[in-house]
Parts: sequence; C-alpha cells; structure tokens
Amino acid sequence: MYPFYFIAIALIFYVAFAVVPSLMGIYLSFTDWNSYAKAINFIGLDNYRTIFSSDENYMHGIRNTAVFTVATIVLKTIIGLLLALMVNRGIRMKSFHRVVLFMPSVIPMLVVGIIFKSIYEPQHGLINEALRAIGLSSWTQHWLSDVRWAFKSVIAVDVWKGAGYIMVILLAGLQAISSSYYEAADIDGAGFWKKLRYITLPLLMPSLTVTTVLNLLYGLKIFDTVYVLTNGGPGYATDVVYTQVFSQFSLGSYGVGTALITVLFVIMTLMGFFAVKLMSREEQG
Amino acid sequence: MKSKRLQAAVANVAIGAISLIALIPILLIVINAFKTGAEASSMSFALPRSFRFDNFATVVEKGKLGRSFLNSFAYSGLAAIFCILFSAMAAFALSRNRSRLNRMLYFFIILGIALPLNYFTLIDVMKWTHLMNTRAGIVVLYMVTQIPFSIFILFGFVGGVPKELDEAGVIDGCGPVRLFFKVIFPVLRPAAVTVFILAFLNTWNEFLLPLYYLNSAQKWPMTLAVYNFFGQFQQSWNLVSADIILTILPVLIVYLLGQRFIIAGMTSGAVKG
Amino acid sequence: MKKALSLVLLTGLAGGLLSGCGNSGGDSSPQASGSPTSAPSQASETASSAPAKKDITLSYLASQDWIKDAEMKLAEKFEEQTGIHIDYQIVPSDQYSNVLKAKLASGEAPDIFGGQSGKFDLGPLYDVENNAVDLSGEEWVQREDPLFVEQTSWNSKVYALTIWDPSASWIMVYNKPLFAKLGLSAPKSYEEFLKACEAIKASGVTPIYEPVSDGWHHVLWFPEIGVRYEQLEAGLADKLIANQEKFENAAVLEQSLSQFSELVQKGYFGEYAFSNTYADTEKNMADGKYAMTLYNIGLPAQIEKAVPGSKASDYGFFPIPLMDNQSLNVNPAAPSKFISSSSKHIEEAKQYFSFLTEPDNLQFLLDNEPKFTTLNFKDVKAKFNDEQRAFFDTYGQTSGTVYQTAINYVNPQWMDIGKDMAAMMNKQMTPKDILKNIDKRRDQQAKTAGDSNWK
Repeated sequence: MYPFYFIAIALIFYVAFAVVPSLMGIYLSFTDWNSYAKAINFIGLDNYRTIFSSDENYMHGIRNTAVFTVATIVLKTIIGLLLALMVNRGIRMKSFHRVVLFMPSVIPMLVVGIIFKSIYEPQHGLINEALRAIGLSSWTQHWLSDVRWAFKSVIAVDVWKGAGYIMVILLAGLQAISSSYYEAADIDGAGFWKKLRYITLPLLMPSLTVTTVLNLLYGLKIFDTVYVLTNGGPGYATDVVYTQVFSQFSLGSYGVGTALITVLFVIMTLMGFFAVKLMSREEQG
Repeated sequence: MKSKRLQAAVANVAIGAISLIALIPILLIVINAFKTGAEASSMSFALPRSFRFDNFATVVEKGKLGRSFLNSFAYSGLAAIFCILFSAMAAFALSRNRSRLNRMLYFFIILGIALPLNYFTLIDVMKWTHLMNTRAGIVVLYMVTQIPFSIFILFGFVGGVPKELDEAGVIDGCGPVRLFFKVIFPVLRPAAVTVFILAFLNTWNEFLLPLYYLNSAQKWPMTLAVYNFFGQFQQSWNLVSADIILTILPVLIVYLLGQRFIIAGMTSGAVKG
Repeated sequence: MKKALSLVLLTGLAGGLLSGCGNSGGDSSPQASGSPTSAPSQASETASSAPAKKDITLSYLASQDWIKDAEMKLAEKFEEQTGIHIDYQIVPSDQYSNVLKAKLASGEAPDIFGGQSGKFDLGPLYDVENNAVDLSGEEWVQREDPLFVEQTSWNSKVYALTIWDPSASWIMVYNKPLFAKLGLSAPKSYEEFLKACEAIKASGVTPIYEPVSDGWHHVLWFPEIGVRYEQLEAGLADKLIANQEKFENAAVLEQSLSQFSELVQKGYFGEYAFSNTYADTEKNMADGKYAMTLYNIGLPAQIEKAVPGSKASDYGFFPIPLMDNQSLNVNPAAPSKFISSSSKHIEEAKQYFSFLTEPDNLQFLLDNEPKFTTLNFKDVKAKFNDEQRAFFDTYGQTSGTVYQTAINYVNPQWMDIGKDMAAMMNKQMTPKDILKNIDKRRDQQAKTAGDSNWK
C-alpha cells in the first residue's frame, strides 16, 4: 500500500542534486583541485592540515561561525519565546502583531542587507541620527566598520530577521498545549513563573527542539547575512566559514574550499545529531 | 487582579515596541521611495515634500522588473508545487511503512537540511543532466533545496493522520496512487499549504543559484535584478527604495494571504513530529 | 485561496517555463559559425553593411563598472543594424571572479565575457587557449595601442579586446581652491605630503577621501607605485617574478606600507573611511569636506557632471606621493572583452567587436563617458583639458608599470590584500604580516600553476 516509488521520486532528485555534488566535493577535498592546473592529484589530508594549522585564518572563521550560531540561537529563542507568549495571551491587535513580527523573515536577505547598510551608516544612518536626536551622541558608533561592533551588528540584523519565524513555530507549540493544565494550575494558585517553569516550558520542549535545530543548522551555514553586510570585513573581523569558502574559490583553490565545506558539514551533522538527542532526553526527564 | 492588568499593559507596550522595531526599516524604505534623489540621499524619516510616483515607473523600466517578476514567480511557484507533491508522497510512504530501510532513508533525507551546497561540483551535475543555463534547472534546484525540510514537516503531519483512513480506502478498492491523491493528500492540505508558502518564500529570496547556473539576464529572478539595480544606482536611494518595495510586495502579499496557514500548518505538523 | 493560487501558477506560468525551454533550445540549434547567413568575415569593418537581420542574442558577462552606459547605447545601435541583441549580465564585482571561473570550468561560458587583462594572468586565470577565441587576425588589433595588446596576448596570440583609457592611472586629485586658501601646492615628496595633510586637517577638512568599504580601492596605494619601487631598487620586479626575492624581504615595499599606515594612524583618512563608498566620491569631493582622493584623471569632469554648481577646473593632480614618488604609474592591463570558444555565435561576437572599434563608435564612446579622457586606439580625439595636459607634461617624463601588472600572481589576490590592509588599518596586522601573506598566496598559486621558478 505504500510503494517505494512514492519515496523514490524525491529521493532521486535529492541524491542527484544534493548528495552527489557533496560526495564529489568530499572526494575533491583530498586533492589539489584548483583553477590553474588541469590535472587533479590526490594529496591526502594536506587541505585539512592547512585548515587546522595555526598560522592560517580558518580557525578564526570557524570560531566566528560558532559564536554567531550560539548568539543567534540564544537571542532568537528568548525573543521568539517572549513574543510567542505575549501574542498567545490577551494582547490588543493580536493578529496585527503576528503579521508584523513575521514580516522581516519574508524579506530577501539581499534587500535586508541593503536597508541595514543604510541604517547603520555612521554619518547619516538612522541609528546614529536617532541617538544624536535624543542627546546620546557619545553612543554613536561605526556599526559595521568598527571591529568591536561589526560582528555584533551583523548578529543583530540576523536576529531582527529571524526572531519572528521562531515566534511562529513556538506559537504553534503554545496553542497545542491544552488549557486544562493552566486551569488546574490556577486552582493551585500558581503564578506566571511557576506556570512557565512547570507547564509551558516542558510541554513546549518539542517545539523548542525544532527551533533550536533549525537555528543551529542555519547559523552554521550562515553566509548571506555576513556577505551582504560586511563580506567578512573590516579586515577579517566578521569572516565565517562560508565567506572563507568563497574567498578560497575566488583564489582558485577549490581543494581547500571544498575541504572547508566538508569540515562544516561534519560539524553540522554532529551538532544537529547531539542537539536532537540532548533535547529529546530533557523532554523525557 | 491589579497585577494582571499591569502585566497586560507591560506586555502591550513591549510588543508594540518590538513590532515597531520590526516595521521601522520597512517604513523607512516606503517613505524614501517617494522622495526625489536629493531628498533621499540621507535616507531619513523626513516625509517627502511631494510624492514622486514616477520613481516606480522608472524602476520598472530600468530594473526590468516585469520580466524578473515573472521569472521569480515561475521558479518559486513551480518549485514549491513540485516540492509539496514529491515531499508529501515520500513523507506518506516513509511515515506509514517504518521499515528499517525507510527509517534510514528518512534520516538520510533529513540530513539534507544540514548539507551545505557545493556550487562548483554542482555545475558538473547540472551539465550531465543538461539543466545548466535553463529555467527548468533552477526550478529543479529550488525544489531540491526545499525537499528535506518539507519532508521533515510533512512526516510529522502524516503521523497524525489516522491509519483507519488508509484501511477505509483499501476497502473501497483504492490503489496506492488513488489512496494518496483522493484520501490522504486532501487531509494533508493545511500542512501542504504551509510547506508551499515556506518553500515559495525561501526560494523567492535566494539569489546565488541563478547567479551561478543561469547564463542570461533575461532569466534572472527578482533578487538578482535588485542586486544588479543596486550596483548601478546605489547613489539614487529613492530608486533603490522603490525597487526594493516592488520586490518585496509580492512576498508580503503571499505571506499576508497565507499567514494563517503557516501557523495552522506548523501547529499540526512540525511540532507534533 | 490555495486553489486560486495554484491555478494561476499552473496555467499562467507553466507557459512561461515552456517558452523558456524553447528559448534555450533555439540557442543550441546549429546555426551561427558555419552557416552562410553569418557572412560578414573577420575583416568586416563596416558591420552596418551586414545584409540580413538575425534574431540572435549574445550573452555578455561582465563585472560592475566595466560596461559603460555609452557602450550599452552602442549595443542598441548594433542591434538596430544587425538584429543581434547583447544580453548584459552585470555581476557585482565581489562575486565576479567566482561566477566567471565557475562558468569557464563548466564549459558553459557566455558568448562574451569580461576579464582583467594582464600578460601573467591570461593563462592561469582564464586558460585562454581553451576558453577564448584567438583574435590575432582581427583588423582592430592593428589600431590598438601595442602596450595594451601585449597585456591581452598569451603565447603571441591576441585573445581579447581592450577599450579603455590609457591615461586612467590612479593619481591624487586635489581641491585647488582649498589648497590655495591654505597656501599649499602640490606636494613633491612624502614629507611635503604629510605637512599638507596636517595643515588641511588643522583647518577642519579631512585630507583624504578613502572608500575602504568597497574592499578594493585602498589597495591601490600600495602596488600602483611599482615605478617608484623599481627606481629605488632596480631589478626588484624581475627578482620577484623569478622567485629569487620575497615581498617580505623587500625593504621598499615594507616602508611603503608603513607610510600608508602612518597616514591612517594620523587620521588623514578621517573618521569614516571604512564606511565611505567609491560611488559617493564625486559627491563628497564636491562638498569640500575632503581635500584629496586617489582617482583617475577623469574625476573632475565626473564631479562637474554629477554635482550641479561644481567646476572641473577646481581640481588638480599629482602622483601618489608615498616613497617620494614623482613618476607616473601606468597600467596597460584593463577590463577587456573575450569571446568564449564554446560560443555558438563566434562570428557575431567578432562582428560586435568590429562594430565597437569602428572609429566613429570609439569616438562616441569616448565623448559620452565622463570617466574617459582618451582611448587606447589610434585616431581618437582626446579630450584633455589644460590641467590634465599639464599633469602629463610634468610627470609623464618618467613612467613605469604598476606592480599588479608587472609582477605575477599579485592581481588575483587583490581583494585579499584589501582585507589585509584593512586589518592593518585597524592595527590588527603589521606591514610585514601583509607582505608575508602576499608571499604565501603567491607560493600557493605558483605551485598549483606548476611554475618552474617555484620548484
């Protein structure tokens, strides 16, 4: 009744256009594949040695990617959860807020980049203008070009764009929680925090698993946010793995570039796997 | 009771503020789209002295927006439709027949959410399949990028569809194809709409695949057209703003029309999975 | 709602997709090169006499800023005459080399592609022998400046057409009234330059407009004055090419970067260098908030055109003053046009090149592009003004080639050097670090290219 060809169609496309190129990439990461030479030679782990060697910049990119991922997971989850809790309760103009808060996530990142470059602009960008207008001139910053702020600014844009998406998923989870739990808690005289701690969060755990895994995979793969805002700059301050992959490709070192992608894939698979395991255990406990 | 009311007030103010933050950048673009080039050069919230609707006409003509709009619509629409169809079929079979092989295949496909694209090796595959530089190629790629996540959502949803439906179908003499299309797919509709909207929005926003795998600006989607436009007119913020508005308007409309399905679909799909 | 949506999609847009497929099918049909309709031979200087109009589209991939508006107008004229449409795909400069490489590697290059010329780069970067069409026999090669032809040649064959401004050296453009007000004149040494900057800064004006945010512009300061490095240390260029010397050990290069760094640390680039954009140069220079910028000799004309009320005659020129440089830096490598060997319309592409290089059309291009003051072809009427003529008379006596063209494996790492220099501006790297990185990337490229000097 459930024939295999139902699965096969999606599977064939997926294997042909996603798995095969990746496998080819993994093979090529052990070669000196580049844009200058026609012959491709097997060079073992050399590309990986390059990536993990201390006098190169790649660990910096991997570190930045990790920071970006952790920061966006934490911020998006907290903000998304707060928003979902508020939107789920007796708020005025509930549906208006739902629509507005999700809106940033449907705008192309490319466009978001263009808009925020203008907003962050130090001389007449919106943020600095607003700070000056309320007498906080000393708070004005070079948001995207100061090494101390650039990465934080990039993260902020990503949270701006992504928090509403997380809100929607969590909201769906909240609505699935039967109100009888809360009614029982009310009878016991439990306050807001108690209810949050003992009812909402545990029952929301499946949704939180979903959002965390999604955020995790999204964060590790991050490219477009950084690319459109700083392209890894100033200097190398905001370089992440994927921007480094692209700069390796533009140097013609495809071998190193594909090795980087492979490292990223291994990290992503492991992290994704552990995240699911960890959170499903918490759910049971 | 008093504290309840206070809580509500605080919540109302807080969410109002956050919504404002979400809206401000978009409002900024809307306001500046109606200004003259000189007025818009500082990208401020000052209202335009007079509303310049001709900015939009200029943009449509210079940015070749009509053509790229149709391209984007075709790419994202077709990719999303095929994606739902194939993903729903796969999710149905995978969820119902939980053999060892199928469980492995499910995780193998879900792994795809984490699979980083390799733009260079993908070129070879595109060539072998004769899809390089074709519109069909972009549709296929867009569909493939959305399949893993779609199966992930639909798989959970199928789990919530009572098996008795299948049995009833079998008793009525349905074959697998009829069972799926007549009985199962209609039940999956809310989730399917969710998947459609998410796949549509995700692919609408993408720009690297067409940049690499299309050979003609006539086939470019909207995002690339904006990119190109910004490169050429980055001194004219009024035009860039108008261009941006015309680009995001379609996605906002799709979203506004479909937003209740997104929430409904996610409630029953992803979460229960 | 869903029904309506899918209905629209299916009926309306499946059609669009089909017609798209039809299109690409048309591309692959065997017409073009061998067919009798594509008669105009390579020597056809008068494309206007082409007999029948053809319904052909030539795809043309180029980086931002390489295609001038005037060329697009010429392309329209070309289409009117011949029916051949040029489909420009302008790719943002930071993705360009990736996209082009991907397409060349796939054998799916567009009919015409842009690329920076350079006698060292043609082989390794574009693999012209496989990817491009030999244009040595074209009539216009005879009229093109030999220096430029050399940069588009590989193993004595010409592979590209360059139409560019040979006077487009990167030089300092300064605000004359502002200099006069402060009693300054064009500096003749690095010392004088520092003094001028200090005086300008003290007057409340930012000395130099430097658009770092574009990623490539601030790099110019370093390799452009190759002529000066060669004067200070004769033979350095040859040693670097032959791998007998490293960038890291060349004192002149380190000193040059140190001087650049000094300008930054003394605040002469102002507070906003990292967010300044190249596209805003005209506006900012016209405002008088900045006194100088590194640009081409065409900038004054561009300012006059872009900002009402400004005058081109208000600006003067002097060479990049690092290392006391007083000579003219020349770069005969420029954005060029290649015809892809996999193109199905090679003859039509050649016809387009012939059309562009018709004397009238060259003149049209020159007259309508404010960035150009002359062209690298015989018999065009240059539009130098007195200030520009004076500059070439003063500094044109000694000239030399810029390092990114004179030295191998430098140009491909331009954006990386840009990142390094930006890091130096933020005090995260030293000049020595930058030179070491340049060596490292040169080694990497040379080895992968199988360069015998690196064995």
